[in-house]
Amino acid sequence: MKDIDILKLTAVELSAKICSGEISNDKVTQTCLNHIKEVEPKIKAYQLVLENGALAQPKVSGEKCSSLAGVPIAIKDNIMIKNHPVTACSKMLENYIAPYNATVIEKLKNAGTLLIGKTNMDELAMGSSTETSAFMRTNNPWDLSLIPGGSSGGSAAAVAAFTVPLALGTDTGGSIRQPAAFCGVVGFKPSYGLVSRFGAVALASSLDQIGTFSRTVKDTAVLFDIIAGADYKDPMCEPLENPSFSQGLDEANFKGLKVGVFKDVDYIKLDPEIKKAYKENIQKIKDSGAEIVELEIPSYQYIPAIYKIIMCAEASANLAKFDGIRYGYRAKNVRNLTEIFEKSRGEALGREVKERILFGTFVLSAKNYHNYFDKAQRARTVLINETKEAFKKCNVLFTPTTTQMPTRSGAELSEYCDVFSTASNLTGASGISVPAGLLGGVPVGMHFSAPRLKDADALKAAAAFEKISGWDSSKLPSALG
Amino acid sequence: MTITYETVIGLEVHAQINTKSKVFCECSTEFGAEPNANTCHICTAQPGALPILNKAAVEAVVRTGLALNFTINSVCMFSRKQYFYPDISKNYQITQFEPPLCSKGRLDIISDGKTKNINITRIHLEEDAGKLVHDIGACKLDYSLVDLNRAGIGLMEIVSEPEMNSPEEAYQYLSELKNALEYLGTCECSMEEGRLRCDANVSIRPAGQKEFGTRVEIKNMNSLSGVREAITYEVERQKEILNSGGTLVQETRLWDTEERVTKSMRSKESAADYRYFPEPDLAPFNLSQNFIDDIAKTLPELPQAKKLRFITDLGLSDYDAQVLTASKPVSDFYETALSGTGIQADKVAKPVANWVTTELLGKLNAAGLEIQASPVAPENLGKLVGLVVNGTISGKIAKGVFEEMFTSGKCPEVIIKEKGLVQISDEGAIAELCKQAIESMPKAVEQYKAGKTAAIGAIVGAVMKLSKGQANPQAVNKILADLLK
Amino acid sequence: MTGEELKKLGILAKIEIKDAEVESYLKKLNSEIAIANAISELDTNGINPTTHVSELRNVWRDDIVKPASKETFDEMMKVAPETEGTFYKVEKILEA
Repeated sequence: MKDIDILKLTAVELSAKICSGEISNDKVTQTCLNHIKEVEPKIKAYQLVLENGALAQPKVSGEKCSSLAGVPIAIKDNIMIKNHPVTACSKMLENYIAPYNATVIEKLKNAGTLLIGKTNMDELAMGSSTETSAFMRTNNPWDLSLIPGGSSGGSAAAVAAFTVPLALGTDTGGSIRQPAAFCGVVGFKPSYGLVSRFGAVALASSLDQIGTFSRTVKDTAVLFDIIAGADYKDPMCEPLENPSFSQGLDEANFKGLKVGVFKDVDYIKLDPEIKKAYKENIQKIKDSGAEIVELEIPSYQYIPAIYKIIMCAEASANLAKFDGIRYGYRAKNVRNLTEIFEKSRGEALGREVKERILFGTFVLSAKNYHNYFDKAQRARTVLINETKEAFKKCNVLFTPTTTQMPTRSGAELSEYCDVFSTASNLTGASGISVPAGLLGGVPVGMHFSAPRLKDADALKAAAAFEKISGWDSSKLPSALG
Repeated sequence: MTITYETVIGLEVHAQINTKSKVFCECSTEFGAEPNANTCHICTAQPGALPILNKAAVEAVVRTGLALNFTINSVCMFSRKQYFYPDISKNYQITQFEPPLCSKGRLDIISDGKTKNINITRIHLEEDAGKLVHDIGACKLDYSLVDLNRAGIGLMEIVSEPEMNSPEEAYQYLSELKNALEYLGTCECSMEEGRLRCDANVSIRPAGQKEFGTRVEIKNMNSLSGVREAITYEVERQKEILNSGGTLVQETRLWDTEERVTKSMRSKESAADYRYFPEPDLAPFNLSQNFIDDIAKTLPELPQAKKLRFITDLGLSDYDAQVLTASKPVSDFYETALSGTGIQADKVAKPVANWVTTELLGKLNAAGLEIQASPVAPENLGKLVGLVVNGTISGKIAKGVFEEMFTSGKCPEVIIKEKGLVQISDEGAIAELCKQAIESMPKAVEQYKAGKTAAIGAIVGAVMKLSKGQANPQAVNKILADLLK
Repeated sequence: MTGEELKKLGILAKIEIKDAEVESYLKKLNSEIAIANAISELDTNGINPTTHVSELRNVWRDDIVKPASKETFDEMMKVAPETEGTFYKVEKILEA
């Protein structure tokens, strides 16, 4: 088998070939490492390639083969792999070594997957472009002058560039689904509580969720089956045993499904090209037998405000632990304790991070708590209630993933860009972005969300959409020639 | 003209919850380990770590709340209290804001011989901070060292209403509270080890005035008597200032245990803004009535109820009952000793009480020992009293045996056997000794027969001497009287 | 937000804000505040705050001691910027 054909296999196909002995896992590892070496100079998806560890992986074959055995996977650099650096792409954690494994890493190791590298991201997951990484910028494999999205931009680009079939990311307001849309891959954020957060560097505790990247919905579901489930180390983790979200995906279709779509309302500011693509895809879904239900969720217009307040507030507390005392960057030549705190944080945290901490401190301070934080938590309830009402009329909600296309690096995205994906973080529901074609040579993503904890419904709709979208998931991105 | 002032005191008590593991991680709560030996990724706030709540800590707070007549708020949650300090690794403390687990409790104290009810505002569950070391021995460091062993141990914060009006009342409240926690087993209460800590809010106001005076918070009082002394000092200080026309500032003062004065902390505390918000990493509580009832069922008898039972069921005096319930170790000792006699409780309650309150506590006190370290085991003291009550040995011999038990820790039967101290009650043997005594004391016999009945005392003494004190004195008296008729 | 308020936030959040940075911080934070102000028009009367999206309640574990492994402990001490024995070492607490 040619290298490029190995790289183009889905995770499920790859594992089957490894387990049957058709390809050795050594060969797979070496092929991936070679491909990474070839494309990394252009893409810069990896913060760290675990080359030695990858090559030392024991041979996988035979009876003990699980569904993803031997499959290489890239991990966002805010997830702890014991004894390896975890930087979250911040100068603060530049020399930090993880003293333990995240629960998802334990699960991946038990499943026999191959942890091949740590991917680039926005510093401490704060950003939508992967440009706030303290170390480097990642480029969009479809057009190197464009951002890959973020904050999990490295993971999205790694999968889009065919260096791995799978990657993990974290998603607080769209940080998996937005880069997935921008890079033309499948990005999935499970319902809050279905995947343990233990071992993921926290951004905003009530919104954060670990999720997946792959090139097909099936691969996403198989990976999700492995990482989902009960974990006493995360108190907010649902007591779910033996999840089986990958069941029944092959037969998925739209017949009889009620698909909610947004009416034309002025609070949703869609890029005209995306709007056009959205309408076309609604028609395709309708033609495939779905019942289209037009609806409105007025509180969507407040999502940027609600999100900004809650995310920054929680982040300001979560990031207080980065003080240069027990680990992390400590400023030199300080005269007293206050200076350790202020200078270490002042020097090692990036501008975006500091702005968000200051804003979070602002909304939580005694004077502002009522008008901002408390108000945002109540507005969040309004959004949850309105979303529940909407789901009384439909099984899944279909929207574009983003309201605009990826920008050139250096340009700013609108506050409304991630409003559809952020909605599911605020309501605790799942959301999945599926590639829906190219607009001017750049991928556009469509998004399905389902009621909280009904992740199987979102996955099935996504699988049904994948069949009619016309997207070829084995096509190499144009920038890789 | 001098103004009479009224003192107003409220106490804020932090009690370390008596669990094996910390409240949000699985590290040990053991005291005295090497620096940071009892720490993990959670209590050192490594990235990605999440708190995992210890059920036993919640139960302990509910248990304490139920015992002190609190309302349990079955629906409540944790909050984050944010401030930067190296002894709280996350730079926020997980605690509770509104509502706490327990609201509106009370505790009775005795003040001026009368019962006074002190209302307690709240008990909430939170985590303790670590320790900072600023000196090694007598050597002051020009840096600080952080030990997080204590960080994350469960704490109950117990806040009273400002309803105590004298240092003595504050002392009584704290003693009663400490006693109750010990009975409940929810805190080990050693103030020296810092397992129980107390801050006091102290103010004075002209008698009759409704508004509170300027409040001063006193910290760093690390013993019960220290609390009384510090508050006494502080009240006097405040009076002096007001009497000399000065004004008081609202501040925090530290009790200096060397100089025995309170000193201003000169902190910039007015700038504090703790930015409390609900803790998103921990699930809220919705405690079922079953959960609360199950805890209520296991509540032990508390000191005040126990005291009442000692008086009414066992017939003890007020004083004895008070002494025997003043601390859990003492009442535990007493009750174990009582059952150790092997005799029905109400028949031996008083002698056992006497032995504990006078002989044992006196000797322990002289030796500087706590009752937990008593060389005489409670079961053995019970046996000893039982032997006296059933006439095996005399009270006088028992005292000698007790001395021996205190030094050697042996059980009374062994000592009695070794020394041949069993009381002689055999009438034939006693009569023999009596005859010998009569023969050797013709003078006393003569006096007795002439009507001076008190002279029999000397003859009894002679019998006891001949028996090496082992003759049963009642039997001796009776037989002598018969022989001298 | 004024420069003075910003400095206060910096003290609370323990982030050094240099004089030269004040203006640009203010510009950014004031624009964030403007976005956040959008919710003031939403009627939230009678609506409870959402503190957790999860329905889970009373999540707890048994009181069992499971110390960190020696390896984890060593790893944690190794990444500490300054230690003395097994203490973490910091500059003195009081202002110089």
